[in-house]
Amino acid sequence: MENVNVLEQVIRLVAKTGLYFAKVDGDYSEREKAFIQVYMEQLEQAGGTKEEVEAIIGDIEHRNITLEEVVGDTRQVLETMTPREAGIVKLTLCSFIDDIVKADGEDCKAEQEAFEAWKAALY
Amino acid sequence: MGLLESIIRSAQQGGGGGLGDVLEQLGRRGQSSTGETLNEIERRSTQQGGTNAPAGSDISIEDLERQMGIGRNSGRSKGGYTSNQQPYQQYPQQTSPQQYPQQYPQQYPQQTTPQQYPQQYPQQNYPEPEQQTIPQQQETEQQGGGGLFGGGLTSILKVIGMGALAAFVLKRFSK
Repeated sequence: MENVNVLEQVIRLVAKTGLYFAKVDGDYSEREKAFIQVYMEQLEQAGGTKEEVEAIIGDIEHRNITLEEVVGDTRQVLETMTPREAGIVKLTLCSFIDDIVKADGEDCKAEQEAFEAWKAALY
Repeated sequence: MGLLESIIRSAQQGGGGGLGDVLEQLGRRGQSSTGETLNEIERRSTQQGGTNAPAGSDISIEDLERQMGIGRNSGRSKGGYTSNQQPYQQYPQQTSPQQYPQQYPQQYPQQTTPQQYPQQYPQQNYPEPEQQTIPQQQETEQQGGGGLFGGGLTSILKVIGMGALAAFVLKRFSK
């Protein structure tokens, strides 16, 4: 597994996935911006410089992320891993999306459908 | 039975085995160390005790040996008569076992000098592996994204967790 490339892909994938499921129930531009800011701060606290983080995910904030793009990037990342690693990462991403969907405590049909579509595509 | 032993035994037996028999065993050869021939010795011995002298005469074995130039007190250190004794006497003088312990222990510490090896090798060899391992650790950090993360599955899961935390905080407190 090429650690550098895969890790950058995962960073971008998490950003895209978070952005997509954060706004799937509506057009919340402020929410997208807040998510990216918090996520970038997490990456910087982990040791990355601001320039490094912006170089990886700086262009994602203003893009229109689709489910097909999220699923495609997820498959691309999983293909670089061993089956065991891919299983662990896929399960973690699934938990990650489930937390996003349930974070506001409301049952949103659009979020549930998107989540089911994501699972159907990858499982 | 050696010749010397037969002589001594003959002298001790006396009587019929007197000096005459001893001289006869010697084969009447050559002269003694004193220059006397065996015949002269025999003649002189006969005058003193005679070939038929009884046992216990005044002539002792040492006197006979001395007169014949043989034996321990004769002054003859070499010769066929004392061949059995001389090798045993010479070996301790030649081998001189006291010399070996003195020579070898003195040479080995000077040549091997075992105290030099521990001082040289640890100082020369050990720093090299340490210099080799340090770049390997730096490469591992670089593979994780230029020092951003350690790399590997743990880093991937850590990144996903960061995204989950960001999304959770966002949706939890945005409304």
